Formats: sequence, C-alpha cells, structure tokens
Amino acid sequence: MIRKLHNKIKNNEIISDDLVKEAITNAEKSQKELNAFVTIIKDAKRIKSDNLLSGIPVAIKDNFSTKDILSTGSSNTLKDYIPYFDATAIKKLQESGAVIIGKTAMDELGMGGTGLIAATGPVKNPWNINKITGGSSSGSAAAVAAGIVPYALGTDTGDSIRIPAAHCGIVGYKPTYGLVSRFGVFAFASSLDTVGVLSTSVEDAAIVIDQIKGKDEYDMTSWNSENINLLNSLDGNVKNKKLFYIKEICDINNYEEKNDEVIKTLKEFNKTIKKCKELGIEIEEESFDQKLLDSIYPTYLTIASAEATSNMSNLTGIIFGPRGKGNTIDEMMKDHRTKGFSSLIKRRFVIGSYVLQKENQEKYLFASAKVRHLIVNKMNELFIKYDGLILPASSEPAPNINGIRSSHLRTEQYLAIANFGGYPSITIPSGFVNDMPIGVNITGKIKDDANILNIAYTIEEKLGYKNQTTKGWK
Amino acid sequence: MNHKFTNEEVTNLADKLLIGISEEEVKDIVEELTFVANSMNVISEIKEINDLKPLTHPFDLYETSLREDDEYEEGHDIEDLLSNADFTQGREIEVPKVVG
Amino acid sequence: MALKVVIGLEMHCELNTKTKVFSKSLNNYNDIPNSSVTAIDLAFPGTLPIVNKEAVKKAIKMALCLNCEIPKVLIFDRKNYYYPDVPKNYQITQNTKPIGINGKIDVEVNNELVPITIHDIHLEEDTASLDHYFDYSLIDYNRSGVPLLEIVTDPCIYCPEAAVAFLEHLRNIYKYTDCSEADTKKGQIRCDVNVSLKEENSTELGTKVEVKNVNSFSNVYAAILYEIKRQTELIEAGKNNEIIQETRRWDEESGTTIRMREKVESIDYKYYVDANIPKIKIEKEWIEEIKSEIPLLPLERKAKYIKDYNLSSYDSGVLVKAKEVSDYFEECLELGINPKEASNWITSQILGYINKHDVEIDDIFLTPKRLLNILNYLNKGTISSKQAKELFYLILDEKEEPEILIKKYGIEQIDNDEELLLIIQNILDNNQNQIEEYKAGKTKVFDYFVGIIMKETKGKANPVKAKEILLSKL
Repeated sequence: MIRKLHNKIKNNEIISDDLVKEAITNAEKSQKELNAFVTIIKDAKRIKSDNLLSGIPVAIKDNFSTKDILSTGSSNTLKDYIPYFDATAIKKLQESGAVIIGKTAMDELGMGGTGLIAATGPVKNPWNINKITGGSSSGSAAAVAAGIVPYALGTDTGDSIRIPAAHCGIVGYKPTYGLVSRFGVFAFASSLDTVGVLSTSVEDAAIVIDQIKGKDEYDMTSWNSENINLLNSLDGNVKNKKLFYIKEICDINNYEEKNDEVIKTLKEFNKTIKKCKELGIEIEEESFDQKLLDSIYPTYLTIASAEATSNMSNLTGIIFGPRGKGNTIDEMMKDHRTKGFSSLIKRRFVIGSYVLQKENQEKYLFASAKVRHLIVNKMNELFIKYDGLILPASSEPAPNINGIRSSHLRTEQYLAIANFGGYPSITIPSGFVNDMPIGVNITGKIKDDANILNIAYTIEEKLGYKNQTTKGWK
Repeated sequence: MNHKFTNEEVTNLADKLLIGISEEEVKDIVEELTFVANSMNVISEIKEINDLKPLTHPFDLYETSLREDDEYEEGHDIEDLLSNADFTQGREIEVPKVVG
Repeated sequence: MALKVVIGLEMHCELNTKTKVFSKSLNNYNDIPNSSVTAIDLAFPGTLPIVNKEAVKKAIKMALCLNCEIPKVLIFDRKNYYYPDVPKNYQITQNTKPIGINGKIDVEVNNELVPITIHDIHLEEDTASLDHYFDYSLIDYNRSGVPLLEIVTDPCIYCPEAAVAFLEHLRNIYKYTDCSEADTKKGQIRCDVNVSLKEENSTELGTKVEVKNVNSFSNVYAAILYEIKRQTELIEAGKNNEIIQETRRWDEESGTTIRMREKVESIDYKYYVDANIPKIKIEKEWIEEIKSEIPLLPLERKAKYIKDYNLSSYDSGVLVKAKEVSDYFEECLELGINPKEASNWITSQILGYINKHDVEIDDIFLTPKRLLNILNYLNKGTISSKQAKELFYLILDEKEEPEILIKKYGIEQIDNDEELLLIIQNILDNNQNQIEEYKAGKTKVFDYFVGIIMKETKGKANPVKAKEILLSKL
C-alpha cells in the first residue's frame, strides 16, 4: 500500500495534501462509530523528502510523546499533557516526511487487552461495531483496518499490537525488543515494552520499521541494527524454512469452552498450516507442559504489573498532569491518582505492589521471572531447530463488547511468549470466522526479524488477505 | 494453604500507592489476587524453575556501552519544563509545605 | 554492667562528574533553580536513564580503594517510595549487585590502625532539593540525578573517634582520587549513623537507632556521643524497651537527636532490577585500568615519606592529612627542595599561616616555586634564616615576587668580609671592658658581642662569618 501511494504521489497521480485531507476527513467521520482517535491533527505538518513514507498519513498511538501535541496515553492522569519533546520513533518518522494526522485511543497506558478502557471511551471494531478491537493498540488497529491511514504506530507489551491486528484483520508487527527505541514512549513494563507497527501488508510493516529502527543514545536497551534491512529481505523464498506449532494450544480438547468460534478458528489455523506446507515450509508439532502454558498469563500479569506500578509512579500530577485536590502533597497525589486511573489500572498496581513486597518477591515475582526464564530457554532451544513458532493469533475472533465484564479475567496470553524473550513476532490476517477476521502469528528468534518478516510475507501472498480493509470509510 | 486476602489488606496496599479504591474495586482486586496466588501454587509445581535465576531482561545486551561523560545538554527551557505543571512559582514547582 | 557502643556508618558523597548519573544534564552547583534540568530529571513520561560511564568508573575506583570485590556485571535497581524530591517516585540505586562489596580499610585512630569493614558501596542518584516556606515548599531539581556514592560499613566501629577518623579518611580518599570535591560545606557529604549499645562481652547487638542526614563530621561525633548518653541512661534506668529501632535526626540547635518516624513498621522499598538499564559487563581490563589510575593514598604516602625521606611519623601524618598539602609537599620535592626542609616549612610556617587566615594552600601566593626562591637565597647566604622568615610573610601578605621584596625592604645579608670586619672592629673598640671580661674567661660575653653585631646590622650580618671574625679578633 505504502509503495503504491508513494509512486502515485511521485507520478503526480495524487497529491499528498489531498491524501492527508482525506485521511483527516475520514478520521473525523469515523469518530462517532469507531471512536479510534484521541486527537485528530488538522494542521498536520510535514517535511518533504524522497522517502517512501513522505507525504503519506499515519496515526500514532497516544502513548508516544509528540511535541506540542496532546499525548494522554488515554489516561485521565495525563488528560492535558502536551510534551515539549518527540519520542525517537516519532522524530524518525517525521524525518521521513510522514504526516501524523492523529493520536489514537488505547487501553489506558497500555493495560487491558480489549480496547474498552480508554479515557475517551471504547474503541469499536470497523468490521462490526458491536465487537471489540482488542488492545491495547485499539485505535491504531481500528484506524488502519477502516482504511483511514495505511499504517499506524503501536506498542506491544503482552500482545497489544498482535491481538488487535488479528481482531481487525490487519498486519501487526512487534519487532525484536530494542530494535526501535522506546525513548518517549510511556513506559508500561520496561522489560517487555516494544514499539511496533500496524499496517495492511508485511511489506508496509517492513518499510515503517526500517525507517524508525536503530540504536538510540537515549535508550540503552536499543541496539545497532545497521546490518538489518527488512524491506530488502522480502524475497518470497521460504525453501528449507522450518516452523513449529505448540500442540496443546492448537488442540480443541485443551479448551474448556469448545464453542463454535474456537472450533472454527482452530480449523482455519489447520488450513493455514496446510497452505504453508504447500509453500514448502516444513511444519512440525512440539509439545509443551500444560502447566507451563497455563503459567504464561499469571507470569505475565505478575511481571507486567510489578513493572507498571513502579513505572507509573511518576504520574502524580505534580510536574505534569492535573494537580489533585488536598491540603498535603500526599493528599494531592492520591486525589490525582484516585480520579485519574481506571479500575483496571488500579487493580494492576495493587497486584504489582503486592508481588514486589519483600516478603512476596520470592513466591510471586521471582517465581514468575523464573518461569519466564524457563520459557525463554525452551524457546531458544527450539529456535536452534526452527525458524519460528506459528500459532493462531487468538483462539477466537473478536468477542462482543457487551460480552465482556470490566473485571474480565483473561487466561490465554500465549503471544506474550514473544515479549518474555524479546522475540520478533508478527500477526497477519488469515481468514474469517463468522464474518470476523482472524489472524495467524509467527514468532522467531531475537534479531532475526528479516527472516520472520520474509516468511510472513510469503505466507501473506499465499493467503490472499493483503491490503485488506473494511470498506466503510473509504 | 493459600493466603486469604482481606479488604483491609487490599485497601492498605492501595493506600501506599496513593490510590483510593471503591468497595467494588476492592472486590475485583481480591478476586484477581486470589487468581494470582492460586497460579503461583501451580507454578511452584514446575520443578525446572528451581535451578533458574529470575529473568529480568528479555536478553542480554552486553555489548551496550555506557554514556561518555564529555557530552552534555544545557538545561532545557524553563517554560518547557514547567508548561505542564499547574502550580509553579518563579522557576520552581510549588507544593503544599512538605514536612520531613 | 559495662556497655559498649557499636557504630555503623552510611556515608553519601556526590561524585564530581561533568554530567549527571542518568542524564546528560550538567552536574554543577547552580544558584538558578531548575537550570541544570532536562526531561529525564523531571521523569517526563517516556524518558529513560542513560548511565554515565565516568560515574561508574569513579564508583569502581572508590570500591577498589576500599578493597572491595567488584561484580562482573553492572546492575541497577529501583527503590520505590513516594516523596516529592524523587520525581519518578523511585530512586535508581544498586541493591542486587552493588558496585563494591566486602571491603576493608585501616584507619588511624590515636596512632593505631583500626580495621573497618565495608558492607557495600553503591552508586545511586541524588534527590531534588526542597525549599520550605511558611505554608508551601518549592522544588528545585538541579541536584536531582547528581551521582551519589553510598558507602556502608558493617557495625564494626566502637568509638566516636574512630567513626570520625574513618569519615575523614574517606573524604581524603575522595580527594586523593579526584572522585569528589567531598566538601561538607557544599552539602556534598551526608551521613547516616547507626548507634547501638551492647553488653561488653555479649555477641548480640543491641537495638539499632539510626540518626539520619548528619551533615558534618563534628555533628556525627556529637550525635554519637548524645546517643550513647541517651541510650545508656535508658538502660541504666531499666528502660531498655524504650530503645526502639527507629530513625532520628540530629538537631544542631539543641544538640540532641529527635525522633523522625513514629512508625515502628519499617518502609518496604520494594527493590527490583531496573530493566531500562541492560546488564553491562564490567571487563577485567577496565578494572585494571582504573586500578592503575589510583594515586598513592594517604597512608601509603605517609609510609613513603617516613621510609624514603626520613620524616617523622608525626610530620608525615600532618603532611598527608589533606591532599592539597601533600601535593604541595611533593611539588616542592620535584623542584629539588630537600624533603626535610620542605616538611619543616610546610608543617610549621605554611600550615600555621593557612590555619590562622583560613585559606587554602592552593590559594596562597607562596607557591612551591617561590618557596624554592627563598630557600635559594638562604642557602647562598644572601639572606639569613631570620630574613627568610621575614621574606616568607612578606610574600604571603604583599603577594609580590621575592626579588622585588628583597630590594624593596633591603633584605640582604652582610656577607662581605671587609665590611663585617669594619663593623666588628668598631664594636670591639667601644666595648673594651667586655673584652677584658672575655679574656678573663667569661666566654658568655661572646654571645653578647654576637647580639650587638646583629642589632647593629639589623640582623643582616651573616652569623657564621660574623662569629668567625669575632673569634679571630678576640
């Protein structure tokens, strides 16, 4: 999509200004039904360049710091926060001439996987507005799936790019941890947070990450990737590539609720596997200890909550954010935090704080971090033999909005494996179940993004859902 | 035996985080904490973790270098630094009197 | 029942790097509030710590000076607590792997070497300063993020003199190694003092009372004395249970310690590894390189002065007490001044002068070079030793070159044989009676004549020559 738009602009078939105007108009028109944006930037600025992204509109998840543009992280604690500096990824995007037309709503500060927990209200799925988008990069996923922008930046801590991508029928790519700088991205869980992209094709995802990746002096966990060029790695050659899937995750017998959607989703996954084999990709089954698989979600919850409660203790309304009421500074901070955070966040904070307590660390946090270690060791071992892990991105398509309780406990979060080990992981659309899109996910070894993207690119070609958007806002 | 989480304990935890919570929220937190506690019991049955250290970083970045001390940044514009603060005085952030 | 005091110290000292420990802001003392502040120092969302190599280097240097074990990897932890002087509401410090552990150093107390064992040394960030007014406080973040090294001893100190000697010794090492200005007047050093009493022969420690934030060594001494008195009185009155584990502060005005925290419950800082800082290998070569840069430390210099220059233990001790003085001495030696002579001038004349006038040895006009000038005149016989002292004070007071002052005040020795002969002959001619007395065996009269010669020449006569001539004439 990006290359096509770029060529059209270059050949004067379309004017960038019109493209941008159209995106802004569509964004505005979509708000009432999708509610994907926190801010729509009508006077979007840009610089001109020869870059593939030049003149093409983009939407940014609201947890990126954008200079002079409201950046709330969809939290009331930051409801009026206007940063005076850009995140590194934003700076690099702007250097390419990309035009930021809006900031997208998200589950508050990245927490929650539904898309329902933004300060600006729930984000709706463009395929069916009674369905959730998944989260936390909900607005970004909705905006791309609705064709408002060809791509959007997101962040992924557990599956926050890859689940909404699956639910919205688009591509969601979480690169290797540190491939893109986290500077200026509101921290959720520092050892898991990754900047990534939502787009309608693997090629577009490659173009965008090529532009924003790189070692950043302001993020010590970023690393030098000069030898990686994702776009040039997409050659469609998957000869001798080997993938595995985890038997227990793909076996209907392991699911408590054997409903129609799960059955169909797993069936679709089998079809996808068959098509992959037709491409010449070797696919094998590997078995995991069910206990270990069941531990992924609580382990994730424990680690992410512990890191989050510490990371977000800077949100007190003293230096930024609305000052709370009270006679003492503690009262002010408490008022700010009590009113500013949603119930879900508070719950995570309390859990995080509980597991961080000295007397609980061993039993909770360290035990979880050891499970994380075990899983990463297992994966690293498998990645000696295989290029990647292939899984259904979700065991079902997007659920109904009104079917979700606010205290909804998710127990399935297999995609977090990629965050545990910092692995590159990409979801691509793989079909439909009951008229809602589903996706397939591929996860590979660290710094092997080029290989994983090329495999995804080749499978995408075969599956035929490239450049897929809903027709609603075009 | 599992620890039974009480409302008081949860409220106290939240209070230390400078967060006020409603009764409804307390209930949800107790429920989720109980889920986590139960899960940890399952985890403790995974014997393989006993020999492992907690993993705090996704992978090692040993080649990372530390920042040289020679390059510095001038202090940022005070207008920028204070532009998001609701209460300031002169070049400083104002808060109610803090007693040690 | 004999009671014994057991003291443990925590000494915080700011390192003299160019920039702060986790940001590129300048580490300087600036009167203008919030002038050395960048986004990281205010914990704006998305900002990340970037570790200063020089701060780590200086921390390692100090750890080596105190004979600590250095870990193989650098790890930082978060200490979580809500207080407005820490904008992140967590302080980055070291808990899992401090930069130095299990150290040991000998300190001289009353001419005896006392071993002090170091529990650990850790690198952390300093906090913002709060200025308190009638009903509000203002926050200045200039100090926020200044590298702070905390040295923690075991409870191994048994008298207040040893505690102060240890602190003075440490301050000296900071200066000798150029790791810090170590100026208590600038608030660069702050101490926490743990004091407990136990029965003389008991192996069990008593209840520990912590006196926090003591800002000078004399106050450390006073606080320890006060705590010994307070706790002894309580024990003797049978009120042992009133000594509780608590935090107190030193009140200079009343000369007492005052309870700070009523709560007996100690704060749980929920220490956890900071994932924003990758584990970085501390290479052996680097440690060796740092080791090679450590200059001779006070006690080593002292031993050298005694052994190589034959100075007394006392004088050597005086010379090494302040690095600047020791450096001055060594500069004198480099210029070729005889060690004994240099030592005498410094310990008696120069230190007397700088103490009386409260100036620094580096600031006086009498540089080692000018001292050499004086000594050259003296040794050539151009001036007498009395004149040398006179010249010494003139240089200090008038800040003029010795040559100019000699001319200005006519400070010159009468060295010429004929001139001296003339003067002496004249004196003898006017004192016939005394000559008779001398000849009659009253040898004391010789000194009488020397006195008159000196008086007549205003002390300018070369005493050796004058005595020779006088003897021959008598």
